[in-house]
Amino acid sequence: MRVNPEFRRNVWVQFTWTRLVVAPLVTFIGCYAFLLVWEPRWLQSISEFVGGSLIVGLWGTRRAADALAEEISGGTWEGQRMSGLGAWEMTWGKLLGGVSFVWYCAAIALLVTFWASNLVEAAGGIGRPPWQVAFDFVIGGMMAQAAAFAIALLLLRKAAQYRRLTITLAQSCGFLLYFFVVRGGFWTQSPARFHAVDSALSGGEAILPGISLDSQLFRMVMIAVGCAWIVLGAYRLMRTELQYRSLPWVWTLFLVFVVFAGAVVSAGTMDGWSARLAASFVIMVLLTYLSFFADNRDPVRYRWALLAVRSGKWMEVFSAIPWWVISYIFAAVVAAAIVWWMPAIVGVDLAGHAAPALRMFAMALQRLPASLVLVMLFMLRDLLVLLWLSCGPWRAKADIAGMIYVAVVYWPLAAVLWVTGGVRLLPVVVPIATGVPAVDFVPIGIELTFALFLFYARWREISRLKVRV
Amino acid sequence: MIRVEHLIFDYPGHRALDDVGFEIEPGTITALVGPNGAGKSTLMRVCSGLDRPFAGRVLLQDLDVHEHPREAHRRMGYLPDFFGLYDDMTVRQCLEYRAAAQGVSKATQCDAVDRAAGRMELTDRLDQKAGELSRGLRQRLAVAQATIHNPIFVMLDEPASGLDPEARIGLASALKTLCAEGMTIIVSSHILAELDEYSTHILMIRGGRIVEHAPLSALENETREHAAISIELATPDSRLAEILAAVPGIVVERVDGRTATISTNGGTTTRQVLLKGLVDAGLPVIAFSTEKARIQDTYLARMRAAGEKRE
Repeated sequence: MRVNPEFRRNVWVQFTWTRLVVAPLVTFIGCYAFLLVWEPRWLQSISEFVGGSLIVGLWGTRRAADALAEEISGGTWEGQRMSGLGAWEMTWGKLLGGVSFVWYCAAIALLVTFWASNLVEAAGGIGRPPWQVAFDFVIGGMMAQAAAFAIALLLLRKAAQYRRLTITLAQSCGFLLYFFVVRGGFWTQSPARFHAVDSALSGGEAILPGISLDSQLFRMVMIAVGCAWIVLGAYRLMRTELQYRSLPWVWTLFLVFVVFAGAVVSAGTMDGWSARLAASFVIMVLLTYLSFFADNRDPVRYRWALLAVRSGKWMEVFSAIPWWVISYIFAAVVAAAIVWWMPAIVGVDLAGHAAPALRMFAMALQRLPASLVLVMLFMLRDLLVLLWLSCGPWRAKADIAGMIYVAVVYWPLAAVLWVTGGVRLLPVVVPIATGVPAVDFVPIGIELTFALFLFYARWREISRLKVRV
Repeated sequence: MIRVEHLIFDYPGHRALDDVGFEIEPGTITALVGPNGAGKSTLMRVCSGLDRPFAGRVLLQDLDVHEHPREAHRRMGYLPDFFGLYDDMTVRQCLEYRAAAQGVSKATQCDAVDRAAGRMELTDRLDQKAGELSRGLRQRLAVAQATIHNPIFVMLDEPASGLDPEARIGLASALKTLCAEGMTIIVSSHILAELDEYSTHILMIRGGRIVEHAPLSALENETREHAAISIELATPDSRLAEILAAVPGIVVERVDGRTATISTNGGTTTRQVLLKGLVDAGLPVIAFSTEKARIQDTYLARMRAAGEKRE
């Protein structure tokens, strides 16, 4: 049997005899000392917390994010890219291999949890269900680590010079995913969080259209599906990194999945397909911006894609099409579906003591089709402005400049208009239709034209290539 | 062996490779030379499939490198200018890892490791950690890693930079060994004086365009016609200058009573006439040496011409 060389290399580097012996020895001494002064139920909680949140969630995500960063900073990454290893081998070899010692320590923590759990149950207490704890450790941990790995892969392509920052950011995202999604955040940290007796989450049912699932089972299915998507995403990013030409069908499938998952999950609380699709639309908008910022926005690649369009090479066009373009198209399709099923919500009360933001949201719902068109136009304006920033001489700072732009261009201006009584002018700054077409569409039309002009001028400038003599 | 066709590579706002095309013959060592920013490293990265070109293609034995990067990587080796090693691993582990990563079968891995270590003279270092090696040995290990799978085509980007003279000589000998084993090699370097030690061809690049691609022997034949000749007499003789002035087809670069330097493009006949004239005149000639035109002279002349042409 051929062992994945990348996995084997990581094992060589990480496993020394000292480490192999010291980890269980320290655990044994720590547990023995602990049980001398505390009850087993606390050991059960602490070992699960240490093994899950600290070892798998915190340390594991760091190692996963560092698996690639170490190669880049050490100058070995180009050699690996030149190897004959495929994208999948490279992905799992790094993902599991880079974290192999972490898993060794996590396995020790898991055994301690099981042992303590048995002690607790023997004393008549509530023990941990072993397969659920193991599931959280293994599948939840893998999801968090794969997320950290994928984010590191994305960020290192964009900003390799900020290695520490990007690694910490990737680790933080992975850890937060583990802590809040797998572990349930702060409010489900009780020793018996897997049991119905004192957990807010467990024991209930997840209501989906036509089926009713145990909420624990539903949670685990969602984590497993999330894990599969993230690992698949990491693999696709690795393909891109290794210069494979890939069509964006995985991203497209993911968007389809998100649209339906959003609609299905919100079915328990919302009636009607348009209301359910509203959640999907919001996610599509967020994914458009996220995928835009994740893209390295290489003008050369865009120019290459445009040339492919002109020459009718559609496979090349699809392989170069940015993910945010697909997300934008999906957002437009979902918006059209919402309008089709429900053109407006009537009877929304604008008066009362609701917060201004909620009242603005209610205004948007009152004229839903126009507001959705405005959302799409505002997004288009933002994308053009962000592209203009990305093609400029300050390209290296385009992401941070873009985030500042998005942060200040909407709500601060809308809040000023609201408090100064300029509610009718809201469509100038936020996508809320007032019912007056001239006020709703002329300002964004002007903004869009101006953004288009800015971007086109910059595009022309960078398309005039200079050759160094 | 490798054919590059109409290669264009752009950075935002800047064209790094501009319609580059050439073909490398099998069993040759090609020196890739050019000034800083000429596009040497970019060309190597694109040829190795690490970067995708804007247009054009690279064919390695008719295999499109960018359409089938993994298959191409199994047949080629590349050492970038800034490379790293796994410092915590032994030389043997480094080589075993690269052999496995390049698809060398488990049964032949040990042989591959021994062979790669042997030709780079690392056999006695196999159990030493890579982090403990000297710079020259690290360079050798890096070359051994890049060639462990016996690629048919190898690219080395500035392999001699930072090496001491002894290590450079060792590297030159290692490159000749690799070539003798059937590998076709491209080496980029700034140290032009050493390239003719091992190169068979030269590929000059400037401003992203190929200036010259020729066998080194052809350039040598050409430069032989433009020889510089040094003359030295045993004792000073005032007639030296006037005798030299009378010989047709030579240019006197410098002359004093005892020594002179002249240049000629008249070939061997002119040299023969010159020497005969000096001896017949009874001058006490103790040295009459033709200075071989160096590769950097040719390089500088070509680059100057390319610059003038573009302006």
